[in-house]
Amino acid sequence: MTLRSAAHELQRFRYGRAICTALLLACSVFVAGCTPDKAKAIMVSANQFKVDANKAIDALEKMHRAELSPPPEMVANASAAFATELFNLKPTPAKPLDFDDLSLLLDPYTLRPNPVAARQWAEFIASLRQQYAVLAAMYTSLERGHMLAGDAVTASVPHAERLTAQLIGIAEGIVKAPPVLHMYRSDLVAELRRVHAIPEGNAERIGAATRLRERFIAFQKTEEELARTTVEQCLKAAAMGMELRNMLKQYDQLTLDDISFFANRAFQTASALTGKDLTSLNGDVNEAIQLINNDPIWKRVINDQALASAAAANRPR
Amino acid sequence: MAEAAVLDRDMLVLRDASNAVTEIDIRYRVGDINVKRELRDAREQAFAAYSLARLALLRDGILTTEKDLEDMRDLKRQIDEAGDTQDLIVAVLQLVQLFVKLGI
Repeated sequence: MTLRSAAHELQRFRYGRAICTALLLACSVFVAGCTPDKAKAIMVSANQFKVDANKAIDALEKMHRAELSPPPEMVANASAAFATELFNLKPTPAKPLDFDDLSLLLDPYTLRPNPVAARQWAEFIASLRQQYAVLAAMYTSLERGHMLAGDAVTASVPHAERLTAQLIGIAEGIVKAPPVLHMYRSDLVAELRRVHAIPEGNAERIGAATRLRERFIAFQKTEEELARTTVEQCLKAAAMGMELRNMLKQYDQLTLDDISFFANRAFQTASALTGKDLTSLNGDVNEAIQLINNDPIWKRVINDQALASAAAANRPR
Repeated sequence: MAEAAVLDRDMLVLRDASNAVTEIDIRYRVGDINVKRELRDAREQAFAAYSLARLALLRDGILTTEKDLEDMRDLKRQIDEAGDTQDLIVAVLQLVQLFVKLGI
């Protein structure tokens, strides 16, 4: 009888054979590799994975909010023009002035909430956060049950793998289709057309063109930074997920040196990602995908998803 | 990470939605207040379509299903039970230790 099956026996006959099995398990503490310290290390790592994943989700939300927002100065200028614009309105019998025109005059650029899109986004974000919370919650009793929970810990590995791989999947989607600040772009186009129409010989002409150039350069940096920070957060969280997965996989044999090694590597990977430009991060995303595709275990996780995606493709949207 | 065909399809939908937003938003931005009044609803619909296309692309990267969540909750129950059982063992061991100490 192995130690693990002995433990199962104990769980089945908890009370009747308690003393006998307790002695067996007391011996097992000295030979099995699972100590409360190691269990605690897994709890801490799973919680850190949740925290990092939530930062990535925050970045994702911020990125999308920015995609749908106007530049603040554009809104302020439009709002200041309320009184003049009011008298420029030309209502028709088919479309007389109404309540909506007041909000149009006050702020013509900020989008009114779309209930369908807002609900679907809120559900998606809440579901993502819940997934990482459920994973972290799984190990909250591990310290108390470190001797008997080996099988459950091993069974949890594919979940940590999926939750890690999907962060890389999100990063991949952003790298392939970076965020677009549409309203900032439209504002720049409006300014381009205005500057272009300034007649030759006008003293303002060159100065306006120079200012437009500076605005455009600053805008490019803003747009790239939005993609960069989101991808960076996703990869940092994925790095933590990978180390958690390594700890879970080796739960029975995990040594304190291993824990220190994995924790240190997660920290170093996260530090190395900080401040990288989007092109380098793109390389990191591809590297992570390569790593997953070359590892038979990771690949199994992705193959399962390929089936799920095929099913999703057939679902009406 | 998702199946290539699904990813490509959703990527194209996002690109089309983005182009539609660009087209209408520039007209809206450069137009006067009456043009804005005319285009406001259509512009907001274009942005909503873009928002949903972005969401579809993100969903392509998601691997965890409802079934996975159920499995994780079940594993949590197993680990919690292991904790309860272990607590019981520790209590019994302490009792045995006490008996030995007392010479019973």
